[in-house]
Amino acid sequence: MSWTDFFTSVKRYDDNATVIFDHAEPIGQPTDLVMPRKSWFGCRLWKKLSPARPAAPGRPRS
Amino acid sequence: MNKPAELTEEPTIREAEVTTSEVERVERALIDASTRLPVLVFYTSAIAWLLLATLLGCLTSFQMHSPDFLSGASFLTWGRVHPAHLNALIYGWGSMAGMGTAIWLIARLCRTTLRHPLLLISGAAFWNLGVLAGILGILAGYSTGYEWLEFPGFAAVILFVAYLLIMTWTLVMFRYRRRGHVYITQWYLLGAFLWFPWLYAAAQVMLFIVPVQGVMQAAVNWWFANNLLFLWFGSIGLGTAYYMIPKVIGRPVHSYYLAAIGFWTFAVFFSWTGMQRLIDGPFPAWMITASIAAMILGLIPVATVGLNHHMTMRDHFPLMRYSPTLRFTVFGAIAYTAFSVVGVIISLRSMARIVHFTEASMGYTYMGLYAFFTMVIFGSMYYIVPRLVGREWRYASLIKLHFWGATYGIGLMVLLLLVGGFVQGLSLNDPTLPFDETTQSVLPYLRGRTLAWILLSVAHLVFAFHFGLMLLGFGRTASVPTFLNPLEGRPEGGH
Repeated sequence: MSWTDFFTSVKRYDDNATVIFDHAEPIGQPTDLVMPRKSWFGCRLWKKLSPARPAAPGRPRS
Repeated sequence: MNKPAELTEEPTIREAEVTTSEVERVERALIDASTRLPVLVFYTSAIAWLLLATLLGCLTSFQMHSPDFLSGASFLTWGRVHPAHLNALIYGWGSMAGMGTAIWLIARLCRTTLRHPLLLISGAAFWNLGVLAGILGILAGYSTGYEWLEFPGFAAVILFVAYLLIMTWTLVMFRYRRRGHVYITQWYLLGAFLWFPWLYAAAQVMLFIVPVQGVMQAAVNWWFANNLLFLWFGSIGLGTAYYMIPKVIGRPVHSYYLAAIGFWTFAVFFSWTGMQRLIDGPFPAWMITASIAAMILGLIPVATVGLNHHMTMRDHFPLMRYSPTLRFTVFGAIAYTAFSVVGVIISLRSMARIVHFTEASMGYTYMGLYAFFTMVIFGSMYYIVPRLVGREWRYASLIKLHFWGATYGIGLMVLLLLVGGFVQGLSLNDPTLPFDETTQSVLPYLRGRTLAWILLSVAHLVFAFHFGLMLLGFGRTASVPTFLNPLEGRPEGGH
């Protein structure tokens, strides 16, 4: 067994993943990215100067 | 020829996925609805105790450099206010908030609804009664004098009965869990719920019911205090972090086996600690050495947990900007590593001889109790409360104010107490210095600590106000995505 195989085998992603992830909240979907991309108390300058980021997926209602 | 078949099959698969997803959402909503009332009762009580602990903390801190302040009233003297503050923080805030988070996490991870929540609510009511009776007892002068066990006997009995109610219901939930695989968070939370009665009952029996003799009382006392910090608060904090970090970033924990090694070494090594606080005391050398060795070996679980969290978070650190839960939890997880390393350093005989009877000891306690545990619990509350009340946090600015107030407050306090404690220790060990000069040497650090408490007070008041808005239904009712996402052109009011 190579080191790569060994390290892959010790991860056991699946067992962990099935407990906290499911179809409604799948792996790869962040669930709490709720803070807006703007500075304190509505200051927009920082937002205008900074590069755009991908849209946050947000938290599914449950 | 195959194309029409694919076209007819594709919608069927999608419908099945949507259905499964909807079922899981409804299931999750039912679990959250069943835990709503008890968890909110725990959280509301915890925040009330946090505000009281903050007020008493400010008072004790001010009295350390201005001892005449409110010295006319016996119940407001430092000797009573300080233990009242610590017990309000430990049993009022920390334990109640931790149990609230643990109940919600266990219900979610066991995928089982909480039946008969009134039992848990009555447990919370009894716990509140016990803490109230204990703090009033301390302020009235009935403290037992043992560190972190100052509550008079009648309060301890009420607390223990309340705890049995809460623990029983938590174990029942675990017994009737739906899935076979037990997640890392469940190990830590179950461990915490079983360790606490062992620690508390053993300490009560060995100190008050069938008291051990002489200096062994100090040994029992410090074994209890140190283990309460690690096995009770530490377990709940780590268990919560193991859920929140992967869940928020949408990525499973890096290594299951690393987590298993971390958990079992945590359980084995940290239960031996405590005696290192009695270095150079009248104890057998092996007792103290065993605790020092256990603290050093404790770096194994700390390293495994730290490595696991770091590898899970790798490439996802920028997400901390967008998630209140993640920023508090990651701060707490980093603080856990720092807390453990500082614990080892101040446990070494050469260092302990300097900082032993100084403010550094308090700095270490606040590192564990606040910088690690409280910050992780704040993070979990930012995650859980919106799911319980069905609304989003109202003001992002208040979340930031809370985070930075708490971060700067606890950072300043820990830094000042550790450095001040070291300076104080060097002065105390210098036989040429008169005692009043050693006291003078630490005064600037103590004044700085009051400033840190003011920052923490602001943070706590802001959080309590925000939580109150959520309870009263003034939270945001935005649909997915939940908070504001200006880049998607959604409405932005309320800031």
